[in-house]
Amino acid sequence: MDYALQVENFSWRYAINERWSLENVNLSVRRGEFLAIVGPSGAGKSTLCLSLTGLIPHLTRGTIKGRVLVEGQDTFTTPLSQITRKVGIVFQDPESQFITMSVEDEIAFPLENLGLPRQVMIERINNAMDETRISELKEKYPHELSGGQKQRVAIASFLALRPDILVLDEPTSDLDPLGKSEVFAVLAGIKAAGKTLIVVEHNTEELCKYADRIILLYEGRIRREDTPAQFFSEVRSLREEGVYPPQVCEFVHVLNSRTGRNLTYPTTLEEASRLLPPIKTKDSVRSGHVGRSAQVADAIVSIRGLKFTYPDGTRALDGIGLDICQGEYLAIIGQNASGKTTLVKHLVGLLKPTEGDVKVFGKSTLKTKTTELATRIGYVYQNPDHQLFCKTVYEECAYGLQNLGLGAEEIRTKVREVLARVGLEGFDETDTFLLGKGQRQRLAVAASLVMGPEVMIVDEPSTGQDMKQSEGIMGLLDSLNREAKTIVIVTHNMRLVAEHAKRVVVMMRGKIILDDDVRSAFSQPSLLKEAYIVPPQITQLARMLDPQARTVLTTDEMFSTFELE
Amino acid sequence: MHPLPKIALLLAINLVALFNESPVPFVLLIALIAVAFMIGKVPVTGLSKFVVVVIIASQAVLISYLLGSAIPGKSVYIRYPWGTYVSEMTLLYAATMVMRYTSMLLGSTLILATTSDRDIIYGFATLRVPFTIGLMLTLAFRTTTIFMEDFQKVRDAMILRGTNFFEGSIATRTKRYAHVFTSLVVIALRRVMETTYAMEAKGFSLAKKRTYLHRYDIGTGDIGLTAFLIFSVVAVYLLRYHFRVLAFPGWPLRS
Repeated sequence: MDYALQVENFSWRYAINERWSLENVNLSVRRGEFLAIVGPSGAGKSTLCLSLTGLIPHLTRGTIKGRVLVEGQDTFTTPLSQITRKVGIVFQDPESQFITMSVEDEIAFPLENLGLPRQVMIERINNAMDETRISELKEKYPHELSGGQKQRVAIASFLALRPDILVLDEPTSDLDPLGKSEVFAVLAGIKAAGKTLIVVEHNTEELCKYADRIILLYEGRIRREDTPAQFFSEVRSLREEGVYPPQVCEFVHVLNSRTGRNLTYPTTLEEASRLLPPIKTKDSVRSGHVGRSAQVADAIVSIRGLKFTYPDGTRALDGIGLDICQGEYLAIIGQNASGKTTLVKHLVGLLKPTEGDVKVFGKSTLKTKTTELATRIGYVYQNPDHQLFCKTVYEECAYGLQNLGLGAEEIRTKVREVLARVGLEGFDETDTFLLGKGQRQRLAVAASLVMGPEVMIVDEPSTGQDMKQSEGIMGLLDSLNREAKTIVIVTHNMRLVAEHAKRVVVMMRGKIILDDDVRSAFSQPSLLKEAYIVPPQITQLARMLDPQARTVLTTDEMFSTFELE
Repeated sequence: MHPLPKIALLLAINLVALFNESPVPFVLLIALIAVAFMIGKVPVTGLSKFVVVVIIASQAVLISYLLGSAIPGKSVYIRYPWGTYVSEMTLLYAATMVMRYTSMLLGSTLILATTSDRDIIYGFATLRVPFTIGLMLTLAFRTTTIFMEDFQKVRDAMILRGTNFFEGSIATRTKRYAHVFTSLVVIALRRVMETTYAMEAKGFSLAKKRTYLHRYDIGTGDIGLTAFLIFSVVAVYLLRYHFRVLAFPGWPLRS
């Protein structure tokens, strides 16, 4: 067998860790294969990516056992400069891997490092830009590019080196739906060109369209390895291991377990339409849906004619009108730069309207201090690192309360309560920056929640998190909503929106193009398409099976809506 | 225009403004900069914040000379108990100094408005400055923008937790900003790690010989203009310090 990569009894332990990050990993990747790697956060996926590209052990201190062969060459004994000619790596953050000042320079950078003649460089740059469809961006600055475009530039910079293997470590985690589809379209092209691809991703539905094989990395070991269809047939186990199987698999799993059938697991919508036996809509649910009912409660947030222009002249919001009532669960969705974050920053007073009015709890934000608003509205950032600045977990939670002037005993009580609520009890004295990403995200929520806000705004609660972490945060928000707290989430994850939110606001180019309840919103795919939003896979499957059926939001709803003929 | 004469122009304007002390040449210098603004098609709308800076700086200069200087003249308008006074020469000198700082600010603004950070990087490459220095500058430009965004985010997060950056003693405020920097250091370290990996994965090495995509050719016009600017600075220096033509009228002072 002709292998591009071989990992033999490989183990790796970082110098600062006592635990092995990878343990006895054995893996062979065929030339031209698309290998997907899934697993919960902290499973060792990124460490494996660094090992496959030689960055471990060449750039990182630690202890190694076994070996990794890149096209037959041992990464331990081969100079890194030789390995990088054979294998490239694209990281999660499009910002930090962009080194130079223009797209063209970025693609030229590795070629200049190789010392290639100028004419060869020009030819390779043009080819790489064509392959990744970024030719029109040649002269652009990094800050002029979207996240998806930056990731395509990162891919192009490695394609120009013409490596046989490309490793991508969560390349679409930070991207909006359009950016994700752009990157996956490029990957499809690279796969068609016969290159070997190894992709770490949480988005299993998209992976299944391209992957030849999937492995599950769990606690540093390969726990499962199979073709997508076989791999995702273990729905229950995968969920326990922190992986979201595609919703079509979950549906078949529910069908099999509740009807005693043994249906083959599809992994994509197309496969589902082919493999599923005849299914009909239950008469009891063959009814249309109703739109969003008028709110009877008073609005706690009232926005009228809101326009906002940044100092550089960018018009971010263009005539927003929105009411949010007590106890609502609202999802704000849309492309990057559609104005979502700018809008929620107006709710907490971080930005003030250029035109129009924003009233929060009956008071204009123009006349209210941000620190005053902060006691009633909590705002959790996408990246918890931007929000955590104290040494210990306890100090982090106590910080806001100290600013409010509360007494030491009251602070202690409140901090203990909130830490128990987010599952961080016993972590009081733990160093904030030693927590895992999921724990840091929960701590960021706790630090806002401890101030007792009536409204919680959470920006991208699921980015870069595995299924269990996402569900942990969403479960917490659900429980807060049951206590009549108002929840606003800003997200690209439509599955979370369908399963948790009750109302959706879709934004595009600074305007609200749709404001409806979740079911009604997802029943308007053509309107959503304008904003590059694709409804959850299960919603699409239901529509495919019966366009007249009610809009389905979850796998359970799918089962209660359809039955086998 | 090639970045080299642009960098030279920035230095020339500031050096000429520094050497000169005569009011009339300052009027000419400001007029020349204004013409350059028009030639460079610099949008006037973007200059409002610089006008604010010029006004604030002018006020500071005027106040400091009006209250704290003792420049002899034919007439003394005000005498202060602390020994300083205002004469007609005080007013002229203060106005000259205002023009000095105005021309420096406007000149720098002109260059900033017409020169990108990319121009500066390419300009350095033209001068055969070692690649590593150019790369360090590039990374500095890249990370400054990202750092400022991170700074804003962390600061906003602290405001949302009740931090008031505008109240309290200097020690209290310093402590608050120290919190901001704790976060920033952690974020920066994570970014640096990933940037290092990306650079190494792209075959970066200081030891190896590299080639370059861009040819940084410099035209004779650019060289001529740069030479003219250097000559102008030297000429102004000689006129000021050797021939005393550009010295402030009446210097050295005789009380």
